[in-house]
Amino acid sequence: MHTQKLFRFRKLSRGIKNVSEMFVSKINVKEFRGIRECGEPLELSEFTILIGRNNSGKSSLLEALFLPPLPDSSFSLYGYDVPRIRLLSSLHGGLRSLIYGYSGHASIEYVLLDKNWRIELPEERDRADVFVNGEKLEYQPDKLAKLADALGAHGVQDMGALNNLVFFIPNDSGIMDRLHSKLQSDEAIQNLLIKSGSHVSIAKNLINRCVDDKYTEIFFRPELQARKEMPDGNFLYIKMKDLGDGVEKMSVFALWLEAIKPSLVLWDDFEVAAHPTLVEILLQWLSEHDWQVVLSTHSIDVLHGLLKVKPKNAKVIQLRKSAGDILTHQDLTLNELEDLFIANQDPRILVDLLRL
Amino acid sequence: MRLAQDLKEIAGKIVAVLTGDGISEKHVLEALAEKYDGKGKVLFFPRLTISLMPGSGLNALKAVKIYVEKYGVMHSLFLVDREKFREKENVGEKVEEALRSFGINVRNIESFQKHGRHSQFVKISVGKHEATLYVVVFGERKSIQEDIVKLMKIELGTKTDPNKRAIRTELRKLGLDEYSLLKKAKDKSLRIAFPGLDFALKKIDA
Repeated sequence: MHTQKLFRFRKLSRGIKNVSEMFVSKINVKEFRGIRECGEPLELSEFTILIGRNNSGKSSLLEALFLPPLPDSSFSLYGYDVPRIRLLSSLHGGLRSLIYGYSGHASIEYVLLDKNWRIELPEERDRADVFVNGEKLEYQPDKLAKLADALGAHGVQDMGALNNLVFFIPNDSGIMDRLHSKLQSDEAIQNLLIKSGSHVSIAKNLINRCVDDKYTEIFFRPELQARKEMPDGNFLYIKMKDLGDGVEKMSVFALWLEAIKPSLVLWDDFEVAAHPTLVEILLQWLSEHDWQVVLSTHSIDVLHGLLKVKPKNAKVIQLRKSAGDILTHQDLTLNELEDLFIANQDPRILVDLLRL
Repeated sequence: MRLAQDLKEIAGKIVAVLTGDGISEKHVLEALAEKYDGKGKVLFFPRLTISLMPGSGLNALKAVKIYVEKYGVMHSLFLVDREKFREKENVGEKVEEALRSFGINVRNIESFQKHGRHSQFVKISVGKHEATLYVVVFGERKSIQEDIVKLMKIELGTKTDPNKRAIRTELRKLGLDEYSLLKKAKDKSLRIAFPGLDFALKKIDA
């Protein structure tokens, strides 16, 4: 049953790609997390990197992007059986923490698959209102067809499939541990990854390029491990946790992304525990898939890696939040990023000019 | 002192510092900039800690357009080594040619020294915006290391080959490094060793 659901994710993703190249092309945030409002809506690209000082709104934007299309329907992701609005609130200590100033309501507008979506988060109840082109969306199971139509996924009958269109990787070790455990325990996901050959391709195309050893395959039981081929032809089975935080993180997230194949991948603090080589390999891998990517970083290695990989339709968005928590931004094309590097200019420091 | 009514007023006082070369330029700029009043302008140099594309020469001027169009910064200071120009090549003409190729119109070029050897003051336009560019060329024949060796001779009485390794070795013998040499050097010595930058900073500060 579960496996069938996962197969439908893939079918759904392909269907949506026919509707639009990008899942979310624009976002405007009001009174959500640390952002009071955006000076102007942000236009996203197929591959977008957010940079800015600490507390400049990067994580808040990624979390806002995580909410659609179904902020509060229950589903199983990361091993949690909770609505994604609850998942975010658990990361921040309560639903009120999702609202700017801890009172009132948040409103987030999106251009999502060429339609205008709006999500309203009231402070007083843990349920969001969703509007598509101004019309309130009822997403009880009997109204699923209408929701699927709004997403361009005609005929989809599975709420779970719609939920997994967006995959968010927060900088949270608890989520990482849950995803790791779930890969070890969920037979349906394991079978899906084995059938698609992802357990081999991730070992060969990701892990082997980051380390000096040669790994041939990932095994899920009794625990997540990689088979290492020794020079004498013998094999060792190395626990994934013993390959270092960076390789473990990359492998676990890559396996999940291969299993779910979301339309939108969100990744906060992308560079954490990653050597520049791993950064570049992961950027390359992400760019080779048919999904939209938005990630945040403080690392110059990520920006430099971006120039080397040159994903199609990529851009950098510099963010700055004013003292009044108004979010301003400036876009940089890859050519502009390269020109700044040529002149020895650090784009991360240039965000200071956005206050002018 | 005057109370600014709008932060945008500050934008007009910022001078973005561009260089396609190494860390020495930053040290020299820091040392010499301290000698000026600084009321007029603010030098903004968000330099990468490590050059990711070193030795890019005049290509660094591409960033002028980004500063003007994206951030409203209308003044730029470009620091470049002499070796980026061919022998007997007219610096002003070469800079103008590069700027035009990057989509930046040159309205006027003024040399700070005879024969255009050390500095240029360039009035430019980017789209509808009018902006200024200060160009400082380091070294008589090759690079900023020639100017640093000149400073060492004035300040320390040493005679050193103008290359990074020889300079580092000589300064270490004396318990110094490039940065401390520059910080301790007298104003007059700095102005003699780096005449182009001295002229440019005077012009910027005016």
